[in-house]
Amino acid sequence: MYHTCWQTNYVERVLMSKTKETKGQMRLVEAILASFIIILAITFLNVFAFTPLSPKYETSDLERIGTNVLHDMDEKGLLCRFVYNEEWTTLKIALMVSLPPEIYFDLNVYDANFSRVNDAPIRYGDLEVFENSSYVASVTYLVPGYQADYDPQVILLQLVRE
Amino acid sequence: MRNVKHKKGQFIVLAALIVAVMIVSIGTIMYGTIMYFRHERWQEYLMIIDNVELGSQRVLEISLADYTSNFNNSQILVDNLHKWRTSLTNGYPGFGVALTYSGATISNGTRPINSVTSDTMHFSSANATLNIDITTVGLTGYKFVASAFLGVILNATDDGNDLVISIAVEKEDSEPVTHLSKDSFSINDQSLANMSSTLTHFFETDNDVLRIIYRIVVRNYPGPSNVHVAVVDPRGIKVVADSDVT
Repeated sequence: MYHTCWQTNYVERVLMSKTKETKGQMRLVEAILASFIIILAITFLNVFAFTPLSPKYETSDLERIGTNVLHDMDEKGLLCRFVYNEEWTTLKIALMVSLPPEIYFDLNVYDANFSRVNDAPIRYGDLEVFENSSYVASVTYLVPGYQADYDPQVILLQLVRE
Repeated sequence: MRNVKHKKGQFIVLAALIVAVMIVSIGTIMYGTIMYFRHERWQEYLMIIDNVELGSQRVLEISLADYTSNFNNSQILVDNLHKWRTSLTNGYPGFGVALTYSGATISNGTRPINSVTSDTMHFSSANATLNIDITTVGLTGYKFVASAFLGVILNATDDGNDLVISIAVEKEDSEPVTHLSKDSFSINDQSLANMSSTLTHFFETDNDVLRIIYRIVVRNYPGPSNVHVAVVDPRGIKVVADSDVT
C-alpha cells in the first residue's frame, strides 16, 4: 500500500515538472509572437508614412527656412538697408551666416517693373547646383521702401540643399 | 487544464493583435492629419500674411518719415497704402491677395505724458487698420492695426554759459530709441554735429516706464530763451519739440 502510494506520487511529480516545462516554453513562444506582431505594425507604419523630413517635403521646408531668414532680417531693419543701399556683398554674407551651411542660395532683387536691380549675382554655390537639383525652393518677399522713399521691390530667393 | 492553457496563449496573441491594430489606426490618423495640413499649403499663406503685416508696418514708417521731412503732405499715407495694395496684388500673382485699409491717420503734436505731471510729449505718429483677404484659400477679414510713432520729452536748462538739454526719445509701445548720434539731433535748425557740444545717455525709470535720456550740453550757448530741438530716428522719422530754457 505504502509502495503504491509512493509510486503514484513519483509519477505525479514527473508529470507536473513536464507540464511546467511545456508551459514555460509556450509562454516564450507567445511573447515572441506578440512582439513580432507589434514590431510588424510599427514597421508597416514607418514604411508607408512620409515623415516631415522626407524629400517629399524638402521644398516646403526650404521655403520656410528662407522666409524666416528674410523676415528676421526685415524685422531687424537690415534687409531694406542692404537692398536699397545696394550692399550686395553684405547681404550675401548675412544670408550665408543665417542659413545652414548645407543650403545654397541664389537671390535676385527686382523693381516694380520686374527689372533686375542687382547687377552682380548674390549667390552661394555653383549655378549647376540649381540647374541640376530636383528640389529648388523659391521664396518671394516684398519690401515697400526705405527711409522716406516708397519704392517697392521684390526679392526672389531660391534655395537648394547640398 | 489543457483547455485553460490554450485560452491563455490565445489571449496574449489576441492582446498583441489588438495593440497592433491600435498602433496602425493611430498611425493612420496621425499620418492623415499631417498630410492634410501639408497639402493645404498653410505655411505658404502664413508666410504671405507675415510679409504683408511687416510690409504694411514699413509703409507707415516710410510715410511718416516722408511727412515729417517737411510736415506738408498729410495725404502721403493714403497714397502709399494705395500703392502698397497694388504692389501686393502684383507681387503675389495667383494668390488673390487683397489689402484694404481704414482709419489711416498721420499727425504730429503734443500730449500729456500722464495725468499726474504737467510734462508733455511731442510726437509724430501714423496709424491705420488693415484687412487682408486671400481669396484662393477663402481667408477673409484678417484684421490688424499698424502704427508708427516717435515721441520726445524735452527739458532745457541754462547752466552758466552752457545749455543743458535732457531729452527722452521713445517709439511704439513706449520702447526707448537707442543708438542716436549727434547727427540725429538738431538744435534751432543747426545740426548738433556742427556745434561745440557733448552727447551722453543714461536710462531712467519713470512710473515703471524705462526711458533712455539723452543729455546734450551745448557750450557757450548764446541762443534765445526758447529752444527748438528736432530728432530723427534711424527710420528717418522726425519729431520736433520746443521748450523754454529755465
